[in-house]
Amino acid sequence: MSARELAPESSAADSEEAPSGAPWRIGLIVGATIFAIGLVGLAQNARQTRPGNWLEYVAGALIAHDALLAPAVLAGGFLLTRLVPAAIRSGLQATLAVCSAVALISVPVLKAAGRQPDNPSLLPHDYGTNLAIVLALVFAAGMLLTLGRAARARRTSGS
Amino acid sequence: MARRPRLPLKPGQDPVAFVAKRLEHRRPGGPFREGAFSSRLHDERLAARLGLALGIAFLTCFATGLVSHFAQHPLDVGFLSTPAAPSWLYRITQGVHVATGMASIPLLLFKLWTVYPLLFTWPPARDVKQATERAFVAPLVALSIFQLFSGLANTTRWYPWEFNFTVTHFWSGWMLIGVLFVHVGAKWHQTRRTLRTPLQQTGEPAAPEHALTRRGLLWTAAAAVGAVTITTVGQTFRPAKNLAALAPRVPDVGPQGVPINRTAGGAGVLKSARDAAWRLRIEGAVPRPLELSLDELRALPQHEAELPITCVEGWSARAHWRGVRVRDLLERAGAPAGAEVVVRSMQTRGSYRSSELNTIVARHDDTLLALEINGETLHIDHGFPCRLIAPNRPGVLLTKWVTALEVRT
Repeated sequence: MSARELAPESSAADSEEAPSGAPWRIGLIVGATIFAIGLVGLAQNARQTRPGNWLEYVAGALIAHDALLAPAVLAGGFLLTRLVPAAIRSGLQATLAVCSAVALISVPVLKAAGRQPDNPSLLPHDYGTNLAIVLALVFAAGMLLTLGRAARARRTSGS
Repeated sequence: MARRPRLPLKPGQDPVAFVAKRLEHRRPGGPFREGAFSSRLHDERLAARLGLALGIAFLTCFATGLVSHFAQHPLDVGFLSTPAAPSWLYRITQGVHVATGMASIPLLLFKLWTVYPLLFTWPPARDVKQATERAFVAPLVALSIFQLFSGLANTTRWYPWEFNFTVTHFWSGWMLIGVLFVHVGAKWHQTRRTLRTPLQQTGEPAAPEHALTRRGLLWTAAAAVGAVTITTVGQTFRPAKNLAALAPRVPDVGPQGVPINRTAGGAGVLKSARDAAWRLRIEGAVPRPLELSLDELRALPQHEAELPITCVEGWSARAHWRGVRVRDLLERAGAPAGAEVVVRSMQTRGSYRSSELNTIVARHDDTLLALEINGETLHIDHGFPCRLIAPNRPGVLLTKWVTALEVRT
């Protein structure tokens, strides 16, 4: 067992272990090969894959997450710790996280860019209303659990 | 003129380690500060567990994606050709592909959140090995988001980009799985050790009162996956159809209770499909080429099949079909036993205006040119006057508005 493994508990940032041994070498060789297959395929089919446009979306994805979404979520979490009473904070955090996930995957159906006037089977719902209902249900369920737990905690600490 | 300082890098010395040593004491502020991220949930134990789930999900998507690819672009290798049975196989693999991709969206976001502080590790890499490993993380994150976003957009037929979705999603999938392998190899030992560490160890300080615990965060991720899945999986899993409030399709909404992708109007066949002069031609390598009118087709022995239509975009719907066996038509025209068939549509454009039947599919009992769906004459959007229906086959290969069977040997 290495010294690192015996090191006391620390955050992910501090305890990042150096890659080593057979898994690292095999992963690197196999992974780089598979990656190269994809890259060559992408390049060979450039007429369809439009590498320039593709790269804009791939790099854009990274920037959208690392520079926009993640900081926004962290800022939201920070505000939550300032504004929300401790007793319901974690429950509200979890509830909002689930709500955000649902809202995020709904962006394409809300946008409904693919809707066709002659094809009512595509995107048949009123997604705005449906999303509002789903979010309300998730929020209500999350808050019920949270308030129930807070009440239980008060009872046990009060007795 | 000042003398240029020589780089004091000794031969054989790790250049990254050399730079890292000099950067150590120049830590920038902001997110690079030590302790900049205070939450206990930015934690390797959570990263390992979420990473394991995500790794399984991505491999599932890749495997089912390959199935779909080779169903549409068959290799002429026996064991890789798509079998005709079970008829529902493609429905399962493609349903799993889309549902797993959906579920991966919250998983990925939770995973990225737990490891986000690592982006601000200082120095950025300690040695060449770590620099290599970290160089693969950027494409890993970028391609993960790209694949999930492009797949999600495609389920709603939203194409904000210029590239062809199918081809690009396929090759990007290879690239993603490649960098995923590198990442798994790099994290192998750490992940194995971390997975054995309980989420809350005895003797370890407990979470502050009221704070979200590690277990709580995993439950939250599970709830997010559940919420996303429940509200969408009904597009292919019929018992959950009434819960599919956010799904782009409902399996019983469409003409004659079955969804459609390409309408007759969109395919430009509104007129030609209704033309009374329409004839089905059986041609190519046959001794007795045939031309059959709709009435003549209806007069032939009719067979029934209960088969799903499965769209690559993740929805599927079962229907009851009635029509003429392709095998019967081939025999009438005198096609040889090992014949393969190209099914041609009257569509004049589009990459799916024809499809190929290998010998197994062409001779299968359930491979029909359907004239009826659920007891009614085919709606024009379902392919009137007749469409191909066959077992275990992507919907895009169930050619509509058929005008010819071209026999090849």
